Amino acid sequence: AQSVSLQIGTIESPTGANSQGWQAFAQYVEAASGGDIAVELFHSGQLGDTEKLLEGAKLGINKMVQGDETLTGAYEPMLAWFTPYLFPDEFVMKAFFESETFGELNEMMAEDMGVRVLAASPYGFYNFINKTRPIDKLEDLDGLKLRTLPSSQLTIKAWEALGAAATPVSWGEIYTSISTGVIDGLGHTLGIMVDQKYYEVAKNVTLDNSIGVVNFYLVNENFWQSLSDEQRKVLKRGAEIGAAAEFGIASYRNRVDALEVLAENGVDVRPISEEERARLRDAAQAAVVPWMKETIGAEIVDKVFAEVDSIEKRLGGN
Amino acid sequence: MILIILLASFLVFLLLGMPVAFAIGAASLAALVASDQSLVLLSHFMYIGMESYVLVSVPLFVLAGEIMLRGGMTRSLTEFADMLVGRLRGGMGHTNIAGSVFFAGITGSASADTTALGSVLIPAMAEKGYDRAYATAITIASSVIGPIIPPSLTFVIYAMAVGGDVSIGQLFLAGIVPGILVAFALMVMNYWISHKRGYEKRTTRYSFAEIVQITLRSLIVLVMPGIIVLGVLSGNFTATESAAVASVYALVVCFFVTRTLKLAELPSIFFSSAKVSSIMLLLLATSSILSYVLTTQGVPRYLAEFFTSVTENKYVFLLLLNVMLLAIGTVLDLFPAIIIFGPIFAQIADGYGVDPVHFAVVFCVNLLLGLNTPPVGSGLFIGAAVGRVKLEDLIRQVRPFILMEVVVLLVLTYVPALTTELPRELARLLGW
Amino acid sequence: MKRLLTLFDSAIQLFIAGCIATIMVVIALQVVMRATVGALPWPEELSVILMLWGLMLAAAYVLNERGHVGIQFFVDMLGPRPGAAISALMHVIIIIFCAAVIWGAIDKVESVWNLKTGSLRISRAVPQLAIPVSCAAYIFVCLRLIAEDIAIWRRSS
Ligand code: NA
Ligand code: NA
Repeated sequence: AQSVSLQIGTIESPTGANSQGWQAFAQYVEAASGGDIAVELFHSGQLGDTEKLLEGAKLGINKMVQGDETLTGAYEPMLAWFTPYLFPDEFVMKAFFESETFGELNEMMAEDMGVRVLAASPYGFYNFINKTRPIDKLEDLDGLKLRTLPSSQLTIKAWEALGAAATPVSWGEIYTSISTGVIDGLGHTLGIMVDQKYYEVAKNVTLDNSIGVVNFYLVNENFWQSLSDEQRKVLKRGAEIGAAAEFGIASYRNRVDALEVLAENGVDVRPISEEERARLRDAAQAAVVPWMKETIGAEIVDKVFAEVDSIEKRLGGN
Repeated sequence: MILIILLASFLVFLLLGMPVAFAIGAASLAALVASDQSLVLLSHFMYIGMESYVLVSVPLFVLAGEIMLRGGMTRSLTEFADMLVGRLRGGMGHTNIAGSVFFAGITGSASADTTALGSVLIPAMAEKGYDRAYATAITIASSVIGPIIPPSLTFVIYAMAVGGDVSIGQLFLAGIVPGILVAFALMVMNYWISHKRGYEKRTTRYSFAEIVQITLRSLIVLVMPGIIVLGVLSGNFTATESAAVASVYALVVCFFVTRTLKLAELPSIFFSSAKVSSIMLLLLATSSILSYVLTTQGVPRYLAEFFTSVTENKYVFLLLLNVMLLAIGTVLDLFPAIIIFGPIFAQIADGYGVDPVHFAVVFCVNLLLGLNTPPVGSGLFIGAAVGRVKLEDLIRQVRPFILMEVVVLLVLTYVPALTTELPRELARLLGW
Repeated sequence: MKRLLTLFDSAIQLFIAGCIATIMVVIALQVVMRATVGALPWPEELSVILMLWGLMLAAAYVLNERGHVGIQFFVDMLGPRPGAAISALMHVIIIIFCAAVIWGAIDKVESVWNLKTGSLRISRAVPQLAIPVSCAAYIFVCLRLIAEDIAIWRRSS
């Protein structure tokens, strides 16, 4: 195969954990290929947001791109791991994306959609932040207006099942919507709460780790198949190194930096008890899982759940 | 090489009269073909450029303004302005400027302001002894106030172009002070010139009954921008929603209160607001292809490297930017310039630590001035047509006003507090 | 034939006006719904789709009136005959651009054909199709304008 030049679109600013992961990827790939593969990174959404990057990757406009959980909107079987309260922590989640079950989903997607995951890096969990009250138990969510994406059926069903009012608000309007009470709050990662300064207008954070979110290192399938074995090996390993670097940075920023900023700004950050998290999980999954089984088939959903169970047992997780 | 093909074909198409939107698209096509890239990119990036809920506010803003204009709201606003400032020396000139401030909420677009106010006020001013070109010059100079004071299509397009990181509500709030500053500066110049040339002032007074009547009539109109601005600022609705609510309000007023609209006129109002906004949409679409080409050719990086190699000081950077944008504004029209250069410069400004809202205001005001500078100033062209004056005369008469606007621009550039602190304080006072 | 064309033309104008009217109503409805029983999931998506279709088609009418922003200054200086020739040439280039967009859009539309939109659950090709369909309309308009330019060219010889 010929030498290759990659123009890769990502959406975070250059200092974001994901951008740093891609920088590690670029360094490895250029060095290991001896200059055979050239990498140029376009950060901050210069080539489009993750949804458009994914469309570009499908069409082969973009050979490699950053992907994230919006993948679940384009390829429905991927919804299975997007179930609220599925993973206990980011380590189990990371192991899931290295599992055989995910590998099978990935092969299916490569075949059906023409896009393949080379590596995945969980970047955190949704946690509730709201301006109204601390949340210690399921009942505390009752009647809270929580933001959802207008297009995400899954979060709408999940938040409603928890007793909250799902309110669609676009990304740019979240801050003012909280400050004026259009919404009480939302679920998002600690990192986003800090970046977007939501803590200025909402002072209650609950560490309930509901929905796990993830960044992908995606490649167009036709391009992938056109490469030599050697090139494929380099790109795959580069993606794994990038994902590992990103995972470490993101975990540290979520667990240390973000919590520090929240504490400095007088935010009441509280963990949720095991029992209450189980109640939240049961309530949300009771609404989401039947709908999901109908949409993508019970077989896939059961398989993903079983895989996560066995990973938890293997890793001795809680 | 690709960049040369891109630039050369763009300039040739542009100078040979091709509409800017297509010139941008065709030049990008030439660059894509030259770099052997897939044609799928064309529709892919056109779609990326257009698919946005915020963008839906554009036809709705235009619609709200269109309804108010067709419903005959121009007169009550000019009367209101005359009532407030007409007794100063150069009274009708001040009325023209103040009219633009009140009109700002209705159109949010400079050319609509020139057409609507100019067609009424220029003949009226000429009758009162003003030089016709001078009257037209005041009209086009003050027309830039409309896009600065909220609601502002210019800021919506800017927020769209740079991609969601700046809030439209904050931009709206940030535009109030600069808009009033521009109006004030223009009034000072008008007062001075009128004094020198002995232009009129109104000598009659309005009776109390007239004052009440005129105020009420204009308040009905001014509630509309109020809805939009307060709606967006309070977060009770999004920019798009407030534009829809304002349209409904305008319809209700014109059907039931003033009864100046007929049902049969509605389809043509909807259709013509679609046409006006389609010009902007198509520009966004093809510019999105262009920015892909520019980005992958490394232009943002070169520009950033250029600026950082010249200076590390953010104020020196802003000065360079002022000069560069004034130059760009002379050859490129407002919206294409915002769409093409907004994202590139916003990123560079971020690197210098410039407040994004402050930057947005400086950037947009800077480019707005280009509307009235030759050779390519659509404000000049529209003004000359509406005022029926020679372009040369108009250019000569508009110069002192542009000078005042440049002074305001520099003040805005070096006193960021005017765009950042004041809105913040206001928001705090109002409890947002 | 001419009558059919006029009918078709009025139908499209009405469709465009209808798009804008529906956008206004649907979004105003959303404001009311959110204040009362809770927000609906589809108004945002629907209004974006209607905007794409309505405005992209409306741009064809603007093109037909030679109303898109452009610099006529230099062409006007050249006089009517060279001006008409250049105008015709520019419209040929626009046709080439539009044809290229349509050509590329075929793959694009095909690739999203089976994907569903987030809340209306219709094919994602529906909004995307606005681009090639409008470009076809632009080509049609350009052909008419070229005929007009040729007529001017002949007349001013
Ligand atoms: Na305005
Ligand atoms: Na004016």
